[in-house]
Amino acid sequence: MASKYFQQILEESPAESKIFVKKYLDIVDRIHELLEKKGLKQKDLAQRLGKQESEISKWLNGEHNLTLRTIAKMEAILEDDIISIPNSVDSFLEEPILKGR
Amino acid sequence: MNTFVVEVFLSLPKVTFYTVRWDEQNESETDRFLFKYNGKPQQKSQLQDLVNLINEIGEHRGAKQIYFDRSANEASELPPKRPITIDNEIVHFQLNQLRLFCNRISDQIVVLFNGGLKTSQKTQDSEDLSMKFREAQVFSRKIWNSIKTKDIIVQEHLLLNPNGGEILLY
Repeated sequence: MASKYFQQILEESPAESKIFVKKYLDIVDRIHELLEKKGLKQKDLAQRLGKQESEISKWLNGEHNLTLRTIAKMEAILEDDIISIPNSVDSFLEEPILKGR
Repeated sequence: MNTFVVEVFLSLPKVTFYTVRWDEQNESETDRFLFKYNGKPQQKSQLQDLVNLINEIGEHRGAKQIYFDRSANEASELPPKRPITIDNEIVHFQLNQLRLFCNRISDQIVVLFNGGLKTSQKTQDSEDLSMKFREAQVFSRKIWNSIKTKDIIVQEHLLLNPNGGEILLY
């Protein structure tokens, strides 16, 4: 027997819920893509951020809010954009002051 | 413990979500979870996020391991550090305080159980949640044992009874 309530709850949910979830998963995917590209594990990212691995897990799994500041810190370590804004003035790689950090 | 049925909860392009239902009950454990928290104004928006999360994974992305948090195992009997991955590992969907326990069988199959609200730092300190987690562990162990003994067949995005009919476990 398929769910009685799932579709109804989904249809009643506001657009922001769908957008939030999509962007959150996009960020999780992107972070893992960059970790793999740099040959790093989650624990390496944690170490470089001066955090416990469990805290990184909580960021990536939604238990703790992922703030813009946190994303910026991760971008600095991963040396690439996790998020980018269309028509933004500079992306990470075009900002020379950030290279080498 | 009574018998329970493993049945399809939601069939989406990338993932088939199954659930469990006690044989004498009309509603699955996952529907009971949805019904309960959809009726609570303080958790409604959290539930909507959870439902959208399941939908997004099922519609577009597949049940990738990276989406599932393992911290639920802090309440399990497993040691915190282990050299191998245990198949019947209970994980959970979360974006907030609501926890829906589940077992990821593959990128294409997830079994959903029940869950609750995390009201303290550790699952085992939230009484209702702890009980639901223990139930999920029992369901999961029986499902995985049945997969190992081929009483349940895993075929791409489906769980099948080799003898046909519904999957009924004891």
